[in-house]
Amino acid sequence: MKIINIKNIALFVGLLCTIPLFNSCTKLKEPLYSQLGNDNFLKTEGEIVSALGAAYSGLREFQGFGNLWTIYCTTDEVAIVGRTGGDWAGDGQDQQMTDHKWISNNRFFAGTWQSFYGQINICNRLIYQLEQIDAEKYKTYISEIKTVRALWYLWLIDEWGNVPIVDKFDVPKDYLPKTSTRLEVYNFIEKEVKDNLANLSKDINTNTYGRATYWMAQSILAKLYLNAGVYSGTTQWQKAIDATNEIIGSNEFSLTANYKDNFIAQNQSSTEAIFAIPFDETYTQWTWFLPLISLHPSHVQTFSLTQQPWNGLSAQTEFFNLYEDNDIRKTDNLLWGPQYTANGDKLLDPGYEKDPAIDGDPWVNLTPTFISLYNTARQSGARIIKWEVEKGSNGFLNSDFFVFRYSDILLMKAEAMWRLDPTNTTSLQIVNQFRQRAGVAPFNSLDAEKILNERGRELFMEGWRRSDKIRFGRYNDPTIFKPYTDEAFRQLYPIPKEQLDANPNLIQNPGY
Amino acid sequence: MLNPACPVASNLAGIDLLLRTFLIQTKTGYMKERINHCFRLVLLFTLGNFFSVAAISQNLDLKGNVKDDKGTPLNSVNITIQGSNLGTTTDNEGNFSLGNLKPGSLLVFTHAGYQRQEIKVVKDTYLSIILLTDNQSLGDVVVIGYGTVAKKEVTNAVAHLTPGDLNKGAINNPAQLLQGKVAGLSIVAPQGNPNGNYNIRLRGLSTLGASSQPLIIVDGIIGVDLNSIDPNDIASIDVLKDGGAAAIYGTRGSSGVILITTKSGAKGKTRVEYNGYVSSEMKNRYLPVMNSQTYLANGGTDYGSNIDWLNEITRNAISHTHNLALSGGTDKTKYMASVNYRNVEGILKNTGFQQLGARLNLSQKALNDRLTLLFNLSLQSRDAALGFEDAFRAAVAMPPTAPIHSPDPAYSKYGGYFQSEVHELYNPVGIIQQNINNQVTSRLMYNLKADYEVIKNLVGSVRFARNNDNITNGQYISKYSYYASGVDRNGLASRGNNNSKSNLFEVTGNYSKSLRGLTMNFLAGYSYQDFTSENFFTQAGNFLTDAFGYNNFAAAKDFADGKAIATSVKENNKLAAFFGRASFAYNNTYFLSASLRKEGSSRFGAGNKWGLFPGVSLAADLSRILDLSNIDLLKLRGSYGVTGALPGQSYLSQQLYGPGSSPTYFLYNGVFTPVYSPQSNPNPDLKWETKSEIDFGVDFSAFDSRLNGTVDFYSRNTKDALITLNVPVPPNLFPTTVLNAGKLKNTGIEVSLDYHVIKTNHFNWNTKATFSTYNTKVVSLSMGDIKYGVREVGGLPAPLTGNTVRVEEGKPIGQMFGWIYEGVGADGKYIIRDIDKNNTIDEKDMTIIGRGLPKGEWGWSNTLNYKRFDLNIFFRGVYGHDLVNLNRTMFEQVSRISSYNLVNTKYFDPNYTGPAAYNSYYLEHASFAKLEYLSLGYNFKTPANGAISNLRLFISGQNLFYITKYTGVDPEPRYTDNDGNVLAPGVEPRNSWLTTKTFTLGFNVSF
Repeated sequence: MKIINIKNIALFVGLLCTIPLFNSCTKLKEPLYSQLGNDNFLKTEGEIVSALGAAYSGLREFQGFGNLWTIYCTTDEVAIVGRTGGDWAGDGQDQQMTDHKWISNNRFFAGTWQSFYGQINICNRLIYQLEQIDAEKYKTYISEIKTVRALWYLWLIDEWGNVPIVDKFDVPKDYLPKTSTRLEVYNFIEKEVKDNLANLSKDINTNTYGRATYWMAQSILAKLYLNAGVYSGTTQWQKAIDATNEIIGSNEFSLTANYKDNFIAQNQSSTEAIFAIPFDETYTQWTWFLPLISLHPSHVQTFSLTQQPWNGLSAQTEFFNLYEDNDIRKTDNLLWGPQYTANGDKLLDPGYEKDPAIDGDPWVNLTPTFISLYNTARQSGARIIKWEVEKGSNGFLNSDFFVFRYSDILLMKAEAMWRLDPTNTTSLQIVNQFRQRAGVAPFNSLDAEKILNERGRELFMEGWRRSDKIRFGRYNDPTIFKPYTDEAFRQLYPIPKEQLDANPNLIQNPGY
Repeated sequence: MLNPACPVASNLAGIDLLLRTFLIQTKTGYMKERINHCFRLVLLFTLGNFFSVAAISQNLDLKGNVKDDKGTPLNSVNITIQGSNLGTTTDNEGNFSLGNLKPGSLLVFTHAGYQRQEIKVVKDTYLSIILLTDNQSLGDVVVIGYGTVAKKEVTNAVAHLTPGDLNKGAINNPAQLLQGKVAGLSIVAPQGNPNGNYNIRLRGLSTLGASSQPLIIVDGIIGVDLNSIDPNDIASIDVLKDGGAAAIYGTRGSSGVILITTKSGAKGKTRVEYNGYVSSEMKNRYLPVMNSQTYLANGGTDYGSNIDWLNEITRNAISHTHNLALSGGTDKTKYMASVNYRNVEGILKNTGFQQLGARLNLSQKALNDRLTLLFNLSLQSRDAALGFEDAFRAAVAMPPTAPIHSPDPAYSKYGGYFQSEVHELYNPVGIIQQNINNQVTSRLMYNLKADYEVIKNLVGSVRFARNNDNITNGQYISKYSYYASGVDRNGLASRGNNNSKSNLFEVTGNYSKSLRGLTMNFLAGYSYQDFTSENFFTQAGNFLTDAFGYNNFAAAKDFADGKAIATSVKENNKLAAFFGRASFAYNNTYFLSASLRKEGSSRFGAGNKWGLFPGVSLAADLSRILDLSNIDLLKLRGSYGVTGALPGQSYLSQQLYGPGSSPTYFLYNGVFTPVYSPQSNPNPDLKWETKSEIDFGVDFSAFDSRLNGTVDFYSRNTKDALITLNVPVPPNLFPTTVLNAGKLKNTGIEVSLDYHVIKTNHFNWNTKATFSTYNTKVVSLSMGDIKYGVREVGGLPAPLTGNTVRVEEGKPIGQMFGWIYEGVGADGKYIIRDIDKNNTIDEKDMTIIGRGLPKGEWGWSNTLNYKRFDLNIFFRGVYGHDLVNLNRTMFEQVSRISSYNLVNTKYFDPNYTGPAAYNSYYLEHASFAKLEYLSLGYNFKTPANGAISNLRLFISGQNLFYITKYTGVDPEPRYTDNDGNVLAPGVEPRNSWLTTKTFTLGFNVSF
């Protein structure tokens, strides 16, 4: 009896004694192995630089697949056409961008809104984090980020106009931003840029390439003022001229000898680059793949591409015709006509339509005309090769995208001066510089049409056609794909439905 | 084995006792009692023994009778005498006699379909033997959480199955054993893919963000992968269906709990059993595509050949499986050891696996039998060739006139395979022949448990278990393969490894007490489990030659060019819980059970680490209260339980930074530098999903237990379901966050009946049927100001656009959505019903056109025994659901025929000339019934004293035919889309394998 009892008790007590060990196991920590938490990040200079990078790498979203539609396809520049066999036709929303028949829950508006505001949030977060660490030490970085943020708002004010201004990261828990009027947004952008000018660098060298500089900030102001009539209701042509003169007066920039120099694969040394978004076929894959979106699938054999293009984006016919036949920029920007392989053989399309009414010939001949926006042949449309498509490319561009190019600044000055005094000679001189570089006959005089279209030819697919057409009041004009005048309210995009659902403080733009 | 009616000769416990009382010197109160009780017995036997040993051996003459537990005499029962060639069999009345037996001989009783019994005889007595059938265990005990309970006392909806109840045939996965056998348990097989995963759901969908598969517990090890158990090792499966039973498993009980018990040894002579079978698997259902003639007649492109692509990539698959099990034991030690070998070919060429597994289950008693040690060890190693399911996609789209190979030099860069450079048209034969996709899995499980009887009726247990799964993948895409960018990357090799480990530590105490008709049982315990998973992956290409496959990364030029990818991830989470349960049974008539578990997980946010999960259930056996003739059991029961579900990933509550899954760079000082950014929106309020369930049920048994059945009605409410919601982009960083915002409601009825129709000496017929209904509704998906709204999910693949399912609060899950097809117009376009009658067809004319989830399921099995033959027929069906036939949606239109082959069913309409677009024409009813298993077996009469005690031969067929209107590959419901979204069911994906039928020939022998 005794023996068993002691044994029992001993075992029981032994069991009880192990319980305290378990108590430490009621602490349920989640150790991180493959990510960093708030405790071990932003502690060294290198980490801060890598965090800063988010603001710049995020700029690549501007050329993101899907954003291209809201930026480029709603004018007469380019369009995503539906092809026979069903490619790109789908639900028709791609084509609705071009014929201005879009509905308020078109997926491209939703995507671009999210993408742009996502970047603004990143900027806000970085500003907040840097201010927490050392606002004085990092004031240059903070000003750079604020300027980049102003650039996003510049695109937002152009596309949606009446948008919420979110400039803080540490907002209360249930914070839902309110819509601000276009004028309020205009004032915000102007103030932001001006307040931060002093901290920005005025150097143009490898270290400042791709970063926000004083000149980039002036370019934002120039754009803001040029479009002030549309954005704020009051034109500001003189201020636009002053901003462009500031940039021109720096002597840091000059026109390149050839138009194409700005768009070659390694274009970072172009003297026209005021603010660039750097791209690289290895480091920035799947961010800017214009060749894949625009070229014909058979072009694999022409350029020895390692990925097959998707036969989508094409230049619209009237834009194609905007160039005179001998304009160098036409062949620099567009690809059309009979196509050949790298060896000089005829380029064939195994997927060609057999109906002769469409195109009975497998030999790829890119025609500048189309059958219709929603259902055209695989070989319709001149393609965009403005940025160099290298031999052996994987479809991802190596060229850097110049958000602000010196050519644009000059043309802006010319326009602003013309607006104030249509007979001034400086404007004509400036415009003719470009015509000379393009190898076409100079103008004798200027009018609205000439300025608008010269800007169009020079700055094809650089992101300004939309705001140019609105400023000249031509955005709703009939085009081949949109043979009617559409409603004026379409100069502003609709606020995406899912944003309205998630935030009752937002107000939809008129007309939607 | 124990027969209380006849304690003398057939009572082994008595003999146990005899041996114990002789060996154990110390006496306790407990021991003293037993000694007094059987004093005479002891003396009698001892003296008897001495006499028989000392004196001249006096042979015994025995007579006896063998019956089953219902009292029916059993004839042809084999009775053998251990160690000699003598023996006999019972006659038609179950009587037998044996003469000239040496006292102390061991008699062995065996009969097909019944459990073996062994009796040691020392004296002339009349033996009344009762044999229990294979699917009756001792006193019918059911495994519930952390314990077992007698079947009579179960207060919850629990299904208990033993090998007799489970499916038979060529079974490679335990999930196959259960298909159609448990009302409310829905199992979808991965068609013919031998390496595929089964989709298991209990009582519909009760979770959004967590796994919808039930929690699997094997011999007490929690959270085991079902693939690691070999079906041959399973002794019983218990399914805890209602919340009241699963509540004791806390945050992982919401999707149900399946408890698997593996075989253990029994006392007696060592038993060796071998099971082997060989099977042949062939195509059953597949998509009918056009042949060359029809293809060309409709305007297809003529490449000159006539190929049946599906035929070229499939084969008749031959597989074989072997299982060898040893078991045996003594009073103290019991063991079961088994080895399993499976060699399975897949119906797609170059797929299949070889698997070797072993298991050892050992139990040892010590310290006066107060300490029981249990040890389980299980190993499994599988070498699999996974193949490429995209070959099925390509086989549908590829024109039948295209040749497999072409001597034209244009194709030499594709290794001579004919390959046009059009999206979707990969050469199917090229895909499977040029490329390699392998996986090696090793699994190791160990489980050690010690039960110690501290004082009378109080048992303390400690368990330690460890589970380790290691999966290694290797894939190589040939430099000549157009598929998967082989040509683009000049050969592409990938290797990945995933290692997951879990450690379980549990301490429990169990106390039972009987007091004048009231039996009580109390359980208290602590459980801690920790999970770690490590993963790494490398991919690089640009090889000189294909000869290395993925075995020489040093030869990949991508490393030098900066194009290679390498990733590694580690993740850890922990679970700790305190739990307790009290059960009461009064007079075997009234039953009550209540449990509580307080559990915490590291995955929950800082504000919500611990949750409380109660469960209560009661039952009353009316047959003991009321006097009901013919009714043996009429138990009414009701239960209520709260269970939880864990978030599917760790770290969701934290703010994380990192380079992201594919690093981004920005140009800093002329050099591309990595960017580190936040990877998610933090959610410190993240908690578990909570499901509360009410269940009412009736268990009954009538006509002398010939008719048995269960009926259950349940209603489940899930709240705080985890769902990714859109959050306003200012001020959040990310447009989405995982929030506990969802509410679901689930109700249904389950009926299970079992009737022994005919019962005679030579012929028996037993029929079983199960029936279940499902009804799952989304109650809400919004949280505060963040509204889900109405949304379409289940996106269609390019070139189609749009979605297939509409998710709406207050409506059922699986509302299929689209335009209503009314025909084809004279212009060759679809006529779509203009619902709002405004003469334009737009998204406002889309409406609910079908149901993605089934209304219900049924299973019906019949078992017939005639003398030595047995026949099993099992039908199963699912009804009320629709499926989007994606292959038809994309490849049925003549506008596509110049590039692609078309699906040729009765729905093909050459009058439609437009592009591929989705509408109700492509959504088909998919209710079906099928003959799931059919098997015929024969039990050989084994020589009475031979070494072999049992020999059975069987042939069986699986998945023999379907009755359905569906024209696609498999009419089984699809519970999620290809991305695993449970809100988007109802689409048959393009890369479905075929369904197959299998014929098996096998035999079991035991000796």
